[in-house]
Order: sequence, then C-alpha cells, then structure tokens
Amino acid sequence: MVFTEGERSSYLVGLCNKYGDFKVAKGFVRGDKKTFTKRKNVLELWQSDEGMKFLGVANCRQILNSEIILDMDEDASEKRMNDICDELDSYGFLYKAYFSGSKGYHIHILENALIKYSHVSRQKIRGFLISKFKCDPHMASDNVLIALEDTEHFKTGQPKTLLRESR
Amino acid sequence: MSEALKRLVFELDDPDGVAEYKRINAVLDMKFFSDELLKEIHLELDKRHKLDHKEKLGVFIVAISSYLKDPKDHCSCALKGNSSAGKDSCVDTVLSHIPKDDWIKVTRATTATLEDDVKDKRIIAFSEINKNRERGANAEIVETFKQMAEGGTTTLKKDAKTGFKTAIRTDQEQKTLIYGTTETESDEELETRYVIIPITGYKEKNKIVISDTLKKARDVSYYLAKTIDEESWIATSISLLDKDCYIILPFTDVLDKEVSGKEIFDTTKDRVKRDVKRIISLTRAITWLYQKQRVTKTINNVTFIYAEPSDFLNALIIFSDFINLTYSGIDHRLQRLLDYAKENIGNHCADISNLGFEDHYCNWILRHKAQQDLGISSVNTIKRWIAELKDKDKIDVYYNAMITNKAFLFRPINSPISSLAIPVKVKEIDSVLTDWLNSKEAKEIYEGKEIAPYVLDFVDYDKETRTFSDENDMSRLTGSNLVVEEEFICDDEAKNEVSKFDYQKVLTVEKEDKNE
Repeated sequence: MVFTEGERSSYLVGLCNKYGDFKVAKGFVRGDKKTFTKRKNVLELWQSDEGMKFLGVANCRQILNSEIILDMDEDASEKRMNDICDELDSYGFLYKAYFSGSKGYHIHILENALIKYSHVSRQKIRGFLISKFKCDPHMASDNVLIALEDTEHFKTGQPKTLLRESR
Repeated sequence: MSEALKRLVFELDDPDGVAEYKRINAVLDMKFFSDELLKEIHLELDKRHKLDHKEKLGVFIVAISSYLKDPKDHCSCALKGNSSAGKDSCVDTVLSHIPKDDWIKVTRATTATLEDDVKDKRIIAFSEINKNRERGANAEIVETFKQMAEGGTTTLKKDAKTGFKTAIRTDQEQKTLIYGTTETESDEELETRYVIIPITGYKEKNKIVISDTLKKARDVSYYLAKTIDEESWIATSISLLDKDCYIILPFTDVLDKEVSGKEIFDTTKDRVKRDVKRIISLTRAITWLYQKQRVTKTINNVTFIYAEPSDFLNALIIFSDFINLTYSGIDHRLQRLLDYAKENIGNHCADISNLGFEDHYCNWILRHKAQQDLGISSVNTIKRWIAELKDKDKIDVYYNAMITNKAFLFRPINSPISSLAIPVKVKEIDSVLTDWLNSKEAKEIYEGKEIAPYVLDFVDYDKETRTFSDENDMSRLTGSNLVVEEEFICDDEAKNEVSKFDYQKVLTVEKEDKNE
C-alpha cells in the first residue's frame, strides 16, 4: 500500500495529534547527491493549505519522541529482521517492521512512556536497544530523519512497505 | 509504562535512567490524602530518630518551607545542643525524607561555593557552625549564611573564564538553611533569622538509642533493607506535589484581635515581627503538605491553596515553644539553669549560712549545688553559663574570698518584661478559630466543604512511638520545673482529663542533659 497525498497528510497530522509535534522534509536526489528541503514542524504546516500540501508530498519525518527505530542498513536480511522481531515480541514491545524501500529494514517501536524521559535518557535507552541488535547507532538521536511509512523512497522510488507487526 | 520499557531501563542499568524511571512512575502516597498526614510523617521520622518529637517534626516542617513558591517563606533553623545530643541524627533523618536532588549536607563549604554553586538546591545543611569559638567550625561563612537565610544573596565577581576582564552577577533567592551548633552564646542577627530548635540529651534517650543500636547489630533484615536504595514515600510524594501555588491563610483577621484580653503576639520586642512572619510561613508549609485536602482556587491562572485553622494550630503546637524560647534570648541550657535558680530560692539557705555568709544571702543559690543538681559535669561549663546569664542581666552573682573561696553565689533577677512571643495558649486560639470556622465568611471561603480539623496530639499514638510511655515520661519529667504538670504525667486519669494542648506543653518541656 502506498499513501496518496491526502492520506499522507492525514497520517502525519494523526501522528502529530497522538505523539506530539515533529518535523518533516522532502528528500530528493540532485545529481548523485541526496538533498532535503528545510525541515518544518507538522503543527505549523497544519495551519495553512500550503502547509497541508507540503505534508502531502513529504517523504521523510523526524523520529518521534516516543519511538525507537532499529535501522538494519548493514547486514540486512529478512531472517535477521524476523529474529529481532521475535526478541522484541518476547520483551512485549509494540512495533512495525518495514522494508525501507532502499537497502534495508526499519523496525519502528512505539513506546508512549519514552516521551516522559529526558532527552539524554531517551538517547541512552534507544542507544542500548540499538547496540543490542547491532543496528545503525545514529538512530539513537531525536533529530534523525527517517523514510516515511507507506511512501516511495526518494532515492529508489520503491515504497516503504509493512512486513510484520508485533503480536 | 509498559513492562517492555521497564525491562529495558533496568537492563541498561544506568543509575540516572533508573532514577528517572522511578520519578516518572512515582505515585503520590495515599497518606497525603489523610487528615492524619502529620502523624504519619512523625511516625516515619520516628523509625530512624528516637524521641525529640516536636524537634524532628519541626526540622521537617522547616525543610518543607523550602518548597513554598514565595522565597520569603523559606525558613531556616539551627539545632542547638551539646555534643552527641542527636543534632546530626535529627537532620539526617529529616533529609532522608526529602527528595535527594533538593538538598545538600556538608561539613564544610567556602563562601564562594555557597554563593555560586548551590543554586539548584533548596536546602543547605551544615553539620556544625560554631561562630563564637576561636577557629570554630565554619565560622567564616556565618555572614553569608545569614544573608542566604534572609533575602538571598547577590554577588558580583570577576569572571575567571574571561581572564577576569568581565564581571558576573549571581543571584540566589532566600534558601532554607539548617545547621547544628554546640554553642550557647547567641548571635541576635542569627537568631532572628533562624528557628532555634534545642536538642537535649538525657539518660532515657541514651538508653533508647543504645537499645536501638544493639537491636540493629543483631538484625539481618536491617542490613538487607539498607541494600535496597528506595526513596521514602514522603520524598516521592513531595516531588509530586504542586510547587507553583500560593498559600492563603483566610483566618488571620482573627489573629489580629485580642484573645482572653491578651494579644496573640507579644509586641514589646522588635524581633516578634520576624517570629510572626515565620510562624505564618511554617503554617503555609503545613498547608502545602496538605494541599491534596485543602480548598484550591485558580484566579488569573494563579493557584491559591486555602489553609485551614488546624494548620496554624499545628504550627503553634510544634513551634511555639521554640519561638518562645528564642524570644527570651536565652539558650535552652541557660534557661534551665535560670529556672533552677528561680525554683530553688531559699532551698540552699542552710548551706549558705554554714559557709559563713550573712543572713541576707539566704535566698541565693550555691553554684556547686546547682552544678550537682543539674548534673553538669564540668565546673567550667557552669561558670560559662553563669557568666552569660550575668551578661544578659538575668542573674546577680556574689563571691567573697574573705568569707570562703569554696562557694560562689548567684540569684535570678526578676524581669517585668514578658518573654513569650506567643503568650496566649493554643487552646484559647483554637477556640476563637473554631468560632471563625462557623462564620459565614469561612463557609464561603471553603465553599461549604466540611472542615474536619486534625490537631496534632502526640498522646493518641504513644504506643507507636513508644516514647510517651509512663516510664519514659516519669523519668524524663522529674525536674523541679515541672511541679505543676507532673501530676498529669503520673496519673492516668488526670492525663485523660487534661486537654491535649496542656499535655502537649508537658511533653516538650526542655529537660536535663546529664550526659553533657
């Protein structure tokens, strides 16, 4: 499934409503370089028609404060993704595992209580889980952009597709 | 919070993360919804520090005043007592029930660090400050300490980061300071800024503390409990209470009038102004603790909590003795000596005559007998106390080596000035406040809420604290200055008849330190 522009903006507004404000951007390839538009807050964009239009074409978003993302760019395989998901199930985490649309897999873990932690502790908690599964350590930060779910990847044009959900 | 995240946080084993987890998941203890909250807190404090009931609860309320929104309400206290009387233990016990991040206790600090590095702390505690002793502990910081306790500090210093080319200004609001001292000399400036809480030692106290130490020495569960670093329910709940609120005392109009023909606050001394402000601030601290049970109103986005008369009465019950003692300007140990002198006029007559003094010295007191009766181990101590009382014009002294070089006489001087800051009894204030509570004004303020006053009455839970058993009371209160009240203690029937306020008074009479 790939979002239409309308669905995409509704999805982002819904996320903002549920988990708090975050930034979005549109990524594209210029020459052989990845480039991004200026990051904009969903809350701000939401207030104007022009902003809603931008939400409809945004293809990257900031990690949510209540989110941990395991990015398996290196050594990515569906088997490894499933192994990680099995372990996440044993923890009891709520997650969605996607094919990123590019090289690897993204596992989005949503944990509402994470938002109550300080910025520093949140990074430590994310960092701990990321290092446990040997995923991309950059994803521990609050400021990283990630490809938007159910949207074509700006480099490959392939959609980020849901493969597995928590039990 | 999900179990998964909890598991992750504990696997991470980061102390800050675990502390944050505890903070996030902290729940206000149900005792904060009980009108017996002060009693519950007292019982909790009693687990670690035996006896000194009003004293430890007093230090706790002073510490709580640091959470009041208006910095001017932040009170400070000094614990005065002899070495090993239990000052440090009392402070440590209280601080163990205050959130860790909010206080710092040190044995020594420099003026500069006090001015620059304790901004984030609400309470600063010192083990010992002895100003009047030569090279006394922390004597050099007394002035800064005074400023911090009254009005806060503003300092201007050259900035080392810019090579001393620019200056930095540091502002610190009024803080709550707690310190212990063994000195009997008083500094008026210090005493008007601090609630002076006397800590005394005596035989039964030593016995209870020793028994407790021996019990712990054989108790495995005591050491097991020590390994669990759990924050107390009081500290956890304090961190969850609303700190962004002002406390209103709607009944103060009543306190401005005379009760039983007397003003509630004695106005003969200037320092009463500070004492009244202090008792109001301490009342606010009690109301703040009871905030979950008090009427709260929000006006223009500012939250006001309305105190109830029982908050004021409890503040009086805990603090009036301390404030009255400080108001008299005499240390509790000197007061004891003075009381002894007053009560023994004429009792030393025979000895005085035998030593060869003329008859008109019959009503004087022999120093060595006073020393013996009060159990003061060192003659230098009683000499120093007598010199201090003489300086304050509280006693006359007489010594004549021509008659005998073995006796030194002194006698009390009657002072016509009232030495009580709050000369009216709590019972009388209670009665006028109860009348006010039935007024239309009170009903409007409390919006028809039924007010069920809880006035502290240590007697009603004597078994839980094991302190007010007859045995302890009898041995503690056999001083000659307790002639009137003694019968209340000895006679159970009489004890039931006497009002709780009178009994309160009996329980806090300062007593003998035989282990000086």
